[in-house]
Amino acid sequence: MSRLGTMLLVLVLVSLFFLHLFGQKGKPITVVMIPKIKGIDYFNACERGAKEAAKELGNVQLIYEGPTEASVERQVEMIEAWLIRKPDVIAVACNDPTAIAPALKKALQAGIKVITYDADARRDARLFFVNQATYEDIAHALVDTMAKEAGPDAPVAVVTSSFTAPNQTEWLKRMKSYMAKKYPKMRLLTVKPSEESMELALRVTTDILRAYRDVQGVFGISSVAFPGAAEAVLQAGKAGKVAVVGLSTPKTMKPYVHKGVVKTVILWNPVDLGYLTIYAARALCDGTLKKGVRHLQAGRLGKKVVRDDEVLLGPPMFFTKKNIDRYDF
Amino acid sequence: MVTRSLFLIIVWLLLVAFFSALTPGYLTVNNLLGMTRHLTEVGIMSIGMTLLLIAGTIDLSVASQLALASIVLGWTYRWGCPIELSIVLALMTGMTMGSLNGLFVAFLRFPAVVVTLATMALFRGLAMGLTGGAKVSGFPDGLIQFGQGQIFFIPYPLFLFGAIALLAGFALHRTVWGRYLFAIGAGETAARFSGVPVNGIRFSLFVLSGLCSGLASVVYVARFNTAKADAAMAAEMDVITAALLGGTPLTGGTGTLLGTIVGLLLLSSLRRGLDLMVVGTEQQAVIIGAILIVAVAAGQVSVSFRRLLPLKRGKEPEGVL
Repeated sequence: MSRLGTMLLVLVLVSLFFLHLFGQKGKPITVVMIPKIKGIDYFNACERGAKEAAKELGNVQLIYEGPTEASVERQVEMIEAWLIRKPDVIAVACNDPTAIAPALKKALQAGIKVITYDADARRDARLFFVNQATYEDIAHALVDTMAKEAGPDAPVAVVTSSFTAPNQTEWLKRMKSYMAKKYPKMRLLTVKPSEESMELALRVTTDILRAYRDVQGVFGISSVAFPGAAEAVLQAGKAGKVAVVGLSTPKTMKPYVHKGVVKTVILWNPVDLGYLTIYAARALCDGTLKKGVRHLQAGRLGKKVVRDDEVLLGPPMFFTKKNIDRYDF
Repeated sequence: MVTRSLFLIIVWLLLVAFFSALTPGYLTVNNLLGMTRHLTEVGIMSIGMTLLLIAGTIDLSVASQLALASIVLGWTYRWGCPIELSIVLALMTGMTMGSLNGLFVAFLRFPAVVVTLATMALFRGLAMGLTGGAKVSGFPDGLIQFGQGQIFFIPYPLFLFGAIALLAGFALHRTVWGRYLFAIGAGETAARFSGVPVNGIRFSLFVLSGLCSGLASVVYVARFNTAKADAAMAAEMDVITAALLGGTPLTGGTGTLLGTIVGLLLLSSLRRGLDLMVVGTEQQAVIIGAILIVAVAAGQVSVSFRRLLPLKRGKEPEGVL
């Protein structure tokens, strides 16, 4: 009898030890997910993926709430409100990397695990960033697609959002160096800003088509520059003659793909981004996602690469005439 | 007016009780004081706004002034000014913008809504144009500590707000200048004929409002460690809402700073409470809008009700309707 007692005691001690070791492993957790802005197709798609993952895991309670305008002030206010209720994880798509940092640091100090997705904060203000696509991946995909559609020696132009927009600047830098390396004959004629206005993108592209009669391809590297450039090429009657390649949502670009102006739309899948973010949150609480880990097992997405403090969604997605109708973001 | 403020305080206490019952952690000193942090800039600007409204005028450009003042603060600091000088320059920028509004409204007699609607676009546009959307951060630790820190759970910016509120309260209720505001708001022509320097007082109000925006910009920069052109986007709505909730009518002539402060408390408690109950941001806007309508309607009803009674206490407050 006493032997059984000892064994039980040992068993209890061992299991306590393991419980301690694994911390929150498998325990139900609450994840607060804050998008940049609520109610737009892109983040609705993220939300859908996040809900799917939470349902699949079964032990994640997901709270999804964000500002109705892309305001960092409101995001900070929400994060500080959550300090009172102390969820296990806060996942934010940041409207401003610096302005949001103090609030995120407060959350970290309060013992909340903070991750970012879609748009990062300063690195010391969060544990991991779920990165939808590296700058290299996007830049390479853009240039490779252009080489395929307009030829590796085509004279091309770029319509960007603004010269200070961080994403666009980084992409452009890498596009240029990749072009020089892989397609040395591809000529970059000009780079024009279009701010956040489709109308301006339409105008500058029309100007480009007039000024550079030999241009064979136009990159639109923001979600408004791309449809603006496509519209300009369509109106100039150069559909099929001048290739338009860029980044935007399939929903926006659908008409241009069907009219034959655009062959390929490049983006990542925001549904998968939301899905991966929840898996990262779960793994962070389970202790399977931590510094030095190289991979993350993420449900239907399989094994995902973890590089330093970033979880990578992987290569971008290509939307063409064949598959574009299946997506509603 | 005192009874109205009392009524609002009771409403606020009920609100806090309601949220405390539903949300653990709501009724803590930390939470109740911590949530004021998010309305400090709005609060500072709403003090200037209350004074303007009492005198029967309005400034829609306050949030744009904050943005442009923050840009001046940020860029002069980046160019090597000591932070104290940058702060003074931001305050001066605020007062300059206020003077511009004041010049048009007080001396050239343009309608305040039109002028400040125009300068709202102008100041914001200037801030955007000057910076091209770029931001400045990396401010000194002392400033950030001021924006982020607290003593006994009291956020530092709250002290600044308190000081401004006390000064304004004194000026409004204890000085001739303050009496003039009520006189102008109640009836400009009468005030003019009584020898009130209407133009000068109006001008001074806009300069003060600009100064409030400048001070608010310092708090903003300290709180977010960022100076940027889209700072405090559309915050003028919250500023005006707080003053209206507090019982200062758009038509002028009456109003208290206490009312505005309770209005601010109502707004911040509501927002924090609804955030914690995970009420969507869209629904929150509806709820706050509905409360504003009820608050204004309550004010109207009490005035109409008083009108039905035999007028024993002399004249009713003018310009409330």
